[in-house]
Amino acid sequence: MRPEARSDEVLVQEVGDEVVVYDPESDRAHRLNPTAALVWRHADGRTPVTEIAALLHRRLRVPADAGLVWLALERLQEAGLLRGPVERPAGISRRQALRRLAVAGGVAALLPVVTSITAPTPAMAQTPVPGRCTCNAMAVTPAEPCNPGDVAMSPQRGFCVPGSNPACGNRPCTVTFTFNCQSDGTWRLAPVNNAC
Amino acid sequence: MAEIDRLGWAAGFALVSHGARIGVRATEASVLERLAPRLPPGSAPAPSPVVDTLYSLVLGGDGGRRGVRRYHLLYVDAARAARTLELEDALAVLEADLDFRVALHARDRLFVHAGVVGWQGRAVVLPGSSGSGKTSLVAAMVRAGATYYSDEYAVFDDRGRVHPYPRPLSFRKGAAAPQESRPVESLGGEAGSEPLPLGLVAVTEYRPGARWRPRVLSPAQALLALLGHTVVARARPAFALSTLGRAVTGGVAALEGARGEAREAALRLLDLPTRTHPNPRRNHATRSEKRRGPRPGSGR
Repeated sequence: MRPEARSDEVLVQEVGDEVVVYDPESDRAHRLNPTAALVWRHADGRTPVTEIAALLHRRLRVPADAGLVWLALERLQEAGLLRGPVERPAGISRRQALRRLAVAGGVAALLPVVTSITAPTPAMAQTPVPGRCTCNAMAVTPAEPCNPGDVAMSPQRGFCVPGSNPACGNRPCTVTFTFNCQSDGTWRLAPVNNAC
Repeated sequence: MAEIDRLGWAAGFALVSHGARIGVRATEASVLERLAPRLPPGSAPAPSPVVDTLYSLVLGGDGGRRGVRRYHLLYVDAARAARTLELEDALAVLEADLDFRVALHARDRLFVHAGVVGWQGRAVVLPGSSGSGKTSLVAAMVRAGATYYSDEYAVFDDRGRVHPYPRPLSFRKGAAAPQESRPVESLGGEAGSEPLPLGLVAVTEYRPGARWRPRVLSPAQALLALLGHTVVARARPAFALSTLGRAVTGGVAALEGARGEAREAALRLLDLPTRTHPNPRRNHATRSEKRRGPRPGSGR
């Protein structure tokens, strides 16, 4: 198999012997450790797996083991960084590859690692203003005439205003408005709590 | 937006901060004076009336009719952001949104949600989500002698240096309680004024009773951690990657781990070297034997 990376469709930042890849399709960013990065760089659609294994051996002093390359390819595929499916050939098992690496020593540092995050939206990457969501329900003055001392309760429905607080989320809300009848026979709106 | 434009606007102004162009208008001129201390750090009058974001503040209050109170309304462009009987609430929403818009529209600066202090000529950046304890840790580091840069944003330039964004520190009292703002001087500290190269990235979160036993991160892991809190990560990924890539090269140290009380964590962080070449096989950061205290004569 000659694996091929989606290198034309992603953004790549080299950081020493590691690589950070940003996929605009999924808005995910991936950090490739040196082993994964080397496999990624040489997955050009022309280089066979055995040759990539030899490269790993020369550059990183790891065993020239195709099983290690397949491990890396599987991790890269899980991250969506390869074109086409990756099918491990029969006879090359993950367990065998790990066993051979263990014999070579220093397994943890040699294994290919791909760490992924989802890039935040702008709203996710800021501090929300706590307690500042307000319900945009509108007060409706009672139509009926009132007698001094009367109290009218009027629940009205609205939505939490998004604003700069992503926690508001435009979810439905209800504000109960209270009207007190004044001595002149008019309704007066009492102070209202419209916090979501 | 046309409907908002038709309202009577008494006064307004345009400013620019880190390349972001902001306009503010209000139905009463007097309220604009209350905005002056709330403007983003580094604000200057804009040379042009063309803005990226326009705030429109419609003042309510007593409507001249008995028993009638009108809401204060705040619009961000055409969207209503606040509707409240308390003007202070509307101004608080405006202030918080101002910082966000600057971060969003800054042209040559990359804003990362993080606390920042200066220490030994390098920036210590603490990326983290809201509620992770950034402000408490920044305050503790300032009390221990570090220079205050920000408790909200690390502002990177295209050389990877970190610029100050010294807002008053916002201390959270509880999930639903208003935040308490305190100038850095009230902590006995001072704000930085010059950009600094990045020295240390510390990814940490407060956990009661936690012991500070961080693991060392590689520069690429540090870049990923910073990217995960970058405001324009999705909108400008190429700019974000290249800027952060420059920032984390050159032997920048990076750590990750839970921390306990802020004071203890601050002393440990400031005790660490701010330029190092971490061994990726090492699981824990080393600690020097001698712990440094506050600067002589600082009174902290």
